[in-house]
Amino acid sequence: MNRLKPLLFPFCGFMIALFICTLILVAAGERYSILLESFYNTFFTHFGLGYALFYSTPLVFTGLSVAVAARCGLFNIGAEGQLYIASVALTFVATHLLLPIPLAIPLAIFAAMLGGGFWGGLAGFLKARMGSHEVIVTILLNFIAYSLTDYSILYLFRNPEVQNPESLEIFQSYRLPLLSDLSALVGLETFSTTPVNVTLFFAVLCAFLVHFFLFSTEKGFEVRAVGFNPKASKFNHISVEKNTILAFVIAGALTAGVAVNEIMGHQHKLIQGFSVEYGFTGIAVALLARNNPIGILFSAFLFGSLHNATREMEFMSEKVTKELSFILQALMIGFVASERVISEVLSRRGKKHV
Amino acid sequence: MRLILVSFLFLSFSLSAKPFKVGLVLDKGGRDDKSFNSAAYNGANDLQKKLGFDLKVVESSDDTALEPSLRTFAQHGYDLVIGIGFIMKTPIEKVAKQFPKTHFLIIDSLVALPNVRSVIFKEQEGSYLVGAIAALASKTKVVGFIGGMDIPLIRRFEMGYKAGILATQPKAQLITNYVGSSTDAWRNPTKGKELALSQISKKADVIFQAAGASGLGVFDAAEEKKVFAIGVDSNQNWVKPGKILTSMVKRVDLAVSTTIEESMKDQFKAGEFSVGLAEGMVDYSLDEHNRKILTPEIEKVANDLKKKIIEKKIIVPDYYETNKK
Repeated sequence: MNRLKPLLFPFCGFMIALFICTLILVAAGERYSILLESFYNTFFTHFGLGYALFYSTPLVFTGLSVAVAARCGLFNIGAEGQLYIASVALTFVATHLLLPIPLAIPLAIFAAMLGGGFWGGLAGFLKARMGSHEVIVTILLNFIAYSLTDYSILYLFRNPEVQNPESLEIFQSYRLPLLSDLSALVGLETFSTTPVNVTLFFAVLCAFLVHFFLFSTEKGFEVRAVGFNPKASKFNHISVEKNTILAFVIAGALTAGVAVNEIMGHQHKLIQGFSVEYGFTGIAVALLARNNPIGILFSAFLFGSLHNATREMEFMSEKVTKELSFILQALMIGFVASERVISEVLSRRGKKHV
Repeated sequence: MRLILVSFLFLSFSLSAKPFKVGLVLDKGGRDDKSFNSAAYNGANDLQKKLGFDLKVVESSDDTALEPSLRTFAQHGYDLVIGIGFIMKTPIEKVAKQFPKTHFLIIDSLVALPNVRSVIFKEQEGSYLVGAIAALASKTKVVGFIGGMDIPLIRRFEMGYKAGILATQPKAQLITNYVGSSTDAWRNPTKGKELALSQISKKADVIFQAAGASGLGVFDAAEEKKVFAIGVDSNQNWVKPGKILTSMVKRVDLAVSTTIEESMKDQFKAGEFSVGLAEGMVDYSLDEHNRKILTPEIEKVANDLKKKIIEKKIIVPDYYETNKK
């Protein structure tokens, strides 16, 4: 029972949020079942679940990115910029080097990690050596990253056939299979027409790897030690500078997953502005999971499915506008995150009875 | 037993009387850009009031929402799915392949699939006319052009516009600016206004904007500095009456409504449709809002040129063609 507790309270919060959102929707003149229908479509149809998982995948990576930095006492607002630099590096490799699959895929992933890691490391370096605050540095680096991405798309590998600024298509050998393709091999039809791809498995793997790194390795312990108490770490010969840079390099490298999901798994090209602020939503994902890598899997899925459910709702209703759906989304997240308040109220009540 | 029979009858009736469903996906400009997207929205909406089919309009807040939106429409059994703008090209290509029974319409881009109709407007012809009008109405003989996103489509406007200016005023000077190189360039009225003000400070007194919602900033600048602006896509003369010399009208509304009508009658025709002045799908606009500022002399010249273009005595340079070589 005690093991289930951390999941129980967010679930209660979710149910309360569901109830309140339904009240709002009914007040707006909508049928009372619409929210349930949209969640039904999200969780119980191949189409909805496929998209929910597809939206969740990048959020796992950015959530992990923010969490690793946070464990080291750093606030990484730069995941958005890091994932763009990772995308540029990946696209550059995947549009220029024609390689066979066993070489191509690891190389492209490595290039993306290098790109993201470099951009993250830059922020870490500035923080560690120059003492500039990482929040400001990462925000500013984001803007530089956007412009560099625009420049690369327009001048390095632009597809001249298309009006929209986007890169050339990546070579065939760099493309990752969709889950629907994989299941078709064994004669099943799952998630058909949705873009959810094998990057999802990478995401789950990464969450466990990060968990292992943080809690079962010496390096991970050092990173956390710096996060807990930099001064004490220094006295114990744990370098604050090195670990700051290391945490930021890992944080940046993790955002490579977003590029892999989008470019190798889905679009097969780099499109300007493809990230729907994944980097920033990652902050909320990590906060909700309290920087626990395994918890991030769940919170990313919550955000991903909410994103899909609100999108579904817009199609089912005349009255739910984009703005209203944002409000509903915010309410849901707010209630799930307020588990502390709820658990406190519950425990107080328990004490009274005793 | 009777109840079952009746309900069965009712069910089969309700199934056979399934309403025709149209899904419309607008780009970032949104339904209230008073220009390109508004034209599409009004075309579908007005026809919906007349014929009463199911119409659902979705605006995309970001570029990644386009494909899921189109796909959700197809998945939910919509009969006709309409994508407004060149940015829909790749998403429609993907989705139309997966749903070969659904009809698609795309504006401003070519998708060669058996269930997609692509409507491409000859923007250069309409731009040529407003270029001629601008040059004739200008006192300083300096005219401006403000494009939204710097892409071949908008360069096509600019090229036609320039040809029209030079045809009537060979010595006139054209100042060109673009709002940006990303899709945000369509909804940045602040920058639109800044660019217009800088052009006005260089003595431009007629400015043609092809910049989506950013163009509304150009109108503000024109009103403030008492110069003329030229609208685009929709007839925008009413937005600032007396300040907007004319509008280069692109009948996106007609393209949308005729496609819906044909699709409803099972007469949907796929393929590429390139339409211009001759089909009445692009034009310059003249109504009570600009009657006083567009003089009859200018009107006469414009109509002459229009006739010559339709009769193919004037061939307006096309950016797409000139850049192919």
